[in-house]
Order: sequence, then structure tokens, then C-alpha cells
Amino acid sequence: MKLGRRKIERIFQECLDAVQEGENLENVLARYPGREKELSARLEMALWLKEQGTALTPRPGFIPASRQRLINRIRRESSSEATRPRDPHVLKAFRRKRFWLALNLASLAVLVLVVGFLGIQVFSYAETALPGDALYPVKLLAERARLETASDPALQARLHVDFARLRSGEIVELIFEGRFNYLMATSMNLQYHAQQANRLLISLKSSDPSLANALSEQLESTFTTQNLLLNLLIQTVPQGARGGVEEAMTDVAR
Amino acid sequence: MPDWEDVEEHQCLIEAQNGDPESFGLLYTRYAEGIFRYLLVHLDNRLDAEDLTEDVFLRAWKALSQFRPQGIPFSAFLFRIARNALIDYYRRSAREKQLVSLDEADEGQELVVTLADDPSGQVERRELVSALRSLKAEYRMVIGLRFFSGLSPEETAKVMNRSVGAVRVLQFRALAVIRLKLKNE
Repeated sequence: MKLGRRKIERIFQECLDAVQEGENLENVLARYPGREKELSARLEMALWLKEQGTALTPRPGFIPASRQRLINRIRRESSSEATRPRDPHVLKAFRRKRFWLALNLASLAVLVLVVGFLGIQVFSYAETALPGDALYPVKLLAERARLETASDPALQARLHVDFARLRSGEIVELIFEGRFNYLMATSMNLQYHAQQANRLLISLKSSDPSLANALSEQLESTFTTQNLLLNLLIQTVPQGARGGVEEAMTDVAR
Repeated sequence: MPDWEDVEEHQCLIEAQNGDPESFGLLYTRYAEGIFRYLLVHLDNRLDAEDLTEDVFLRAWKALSQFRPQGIPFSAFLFRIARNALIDYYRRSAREKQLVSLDEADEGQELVVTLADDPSGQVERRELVSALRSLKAEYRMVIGLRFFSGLSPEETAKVMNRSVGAVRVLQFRALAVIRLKLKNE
């Protein structure tokens, strides 16, 4: 039986997995008579490359030393943040039990009221949050909730297209605001939504081609516009941060 | 390399995202060597690869608060950062050495890979490096990720932004090409 190209590549991966799990190479190849030469040449090369790879090591002691350097640096940068001084009078009051109990009950009541009253406003403010803002996690949480409660693939696809568009806008705003630290992660999030959208649109084409085409056009339009802007803006981004912009543009160029 | 459960890594990630540098250090221990190998395949020397490895993890720490699993493994997140760090490195080098692009900077460079004391392997490895340098970028990348850094096809697909099927095709072709190049060396 003549194997198609796709099948041989899948078979090769299965053989490689089997050999790496300890099976004998000859036994593995024996399962595919007539294909031994094609498979064995590549299997031997793959195994040889892995062996060569194990010799590519850092200097002895590098990993534990650099790990400690990394941890020390993270701690240094964290401890440089200012801490708010505590008011000694307030601390004294807190030690009084009755005051503490009353404060707890009052806090609970206020919390219930505040959460109920402000909850909607928090979410609406979060809609305009950018990566790095305090409310940005709320924004992402709301998006995730919408995705998880979306009942059908068409709605999910629409949401992913919308969220990709939002990430695209955030990337441009981050550049304008000079907040380059968040570019990479935002670009990766953009890629995630674009990939999910593409995946859903492929299957949607058979059930609702007009909707699939409309959403595809929206997605493409988002990326085209973003690409034009990013090509202009990338010169304003410091060298060290351009990776994040290029990440988004790489996705756009697909 | 320790045999970690995914749930342990997930727990480490949560703690690292909550600001625990020790948990991030555990992730560093797990992935540093793989990142180093991936970088070394592309760089001139081991010291640069070590420096860039540290830089990759520092960037990862700074971006960690924005990381969400959502189908992207942490390894893919790291290797994407590594890929972009490499791009930045080559742009810096290009400015310094008046070279033009990543691929053009690769060609013709002598890569001296200082390995552990094993002089008998150095000729073979020099030929391997020369063969790797002559591959097209996506073949070099799939070989680096799959066979030097030990990523699974699924993880490699996430890093390279391709499907798993595409990765299988790439690795199948890349192995044939590099085998031919080494045969002709």
C-alpha cells in the first residue's frame, strides 16, 4: 500500500516516539515494511542530533549560579518599591477587640453595598484598561467569562475576532504611551485570539459561509490596519522592546 | 532534568505570578538548559548564549503577570521570548558589525562551539554547525526546538505558530536536508 506524504510524516513521529520510549529501532521499522530506508535514515539522524544536543551545555555551575543571580535581581527590584507607613494611632485602635468586631461588621455591610453598587462600574471602567493597569485583569476575566458562556462556535468566533481587535488596539496604545514592557504578552494574547478565530472560522465555513466570510474580512481588516500603523510606529519603539511589536507583525503577516 | 507533573509547574507558575521569585527559580532550573541550547545553535559562542539565557528569563519574569495558559504552554511562551531576544541580539550585532539581517549574519560565520573536553567530537560538531547554518531558518528552528531543546511537536507548533501537522512535515524535511548536507561535508 502506497503511503501518502502526510501519513509517512505521522508514522515517522510515531516511530520516533517509540524509539525514544525505549523500543528497539529494528522492531519499530519492521512494522512498516518497504519504508525502512526512508524512516531509518531520518530516525538515525534525529537520534544523533539529540545526542549532539546533550553535549551543548552551559559551563559547569552556570545554571544554579545564574538562577541565584536572577532571584537576587528580582528581589532587589521588588524591594525598591516604597511601602506605605502605618499610622500608630490606627494600629492601637485595631488592637481593641470591640472596635475590631464592629469594624469587621461595618466593613462587611459596606462591602456588600459597594460591590453591588460599584460592580457594574468596575467592569465598565475595566473595558478601557490597558495591560499593566490595575483593572486589566478584570477586563481579561470578563472576556474569559464571555467566551466560556458562549453557546455556539459562531458566537465564539465573533468574540475571538473582537478580542483580537481589542488586543491590536491595546498594542498601538501601549506604544503611544511608551509602555513597552507589556507589548510581548499582549502580542501573544492577540495571536491566541487570532488563532482561535481562524480555527473556528474554518469549521464555520461549512455551516454558515456568509458569516464566516464576514468575520474573516473583519479579522483581516483589523490586521491590515494594525500592520500599517505598526510599520510606522516601530521606529519609535526602543530596540529592546521591538520584539513585542515584531511578534504582533509576524502574526499580521500570516 | 526532573520529571515534573504539569500540575506542579502550574502551581509554580501561579506562585511566581504572585511574586515568588523562588518559584520562578524552579521554572528557570527546568527550562534554562533547553533555552540555552536553542540560543547556542544560533549564536557565536557559549558566553553569549549564557548571557542571553539570563536575559530571556528576566524578560519572561517581567511579562509573567500577563501570561495566561489559554492553550499556550509556558515552554512556548519562553521560547517565543527567546526567539525575539535572538532577533534583538542580531540587530544589535548588525549595528556593531555592519551586517544586514539575521540570515545574512548567519552565513559564513565561524561558529566556535566550546564544548566539554571532547576533542574527538569537535570536528563532527563543527560540520554539524556548518550544516545547521546553511539550512533555511524554519528548518534550523524546528531542529533546534525538537532535537536540541527537546520540545514536543505540540510545543514546537505553539512556538513556531504552526499546526502540529506542519511541524511534522518540517521536521521530516529538515532531517532529510541536514542529513544530505552532512553527507556532503
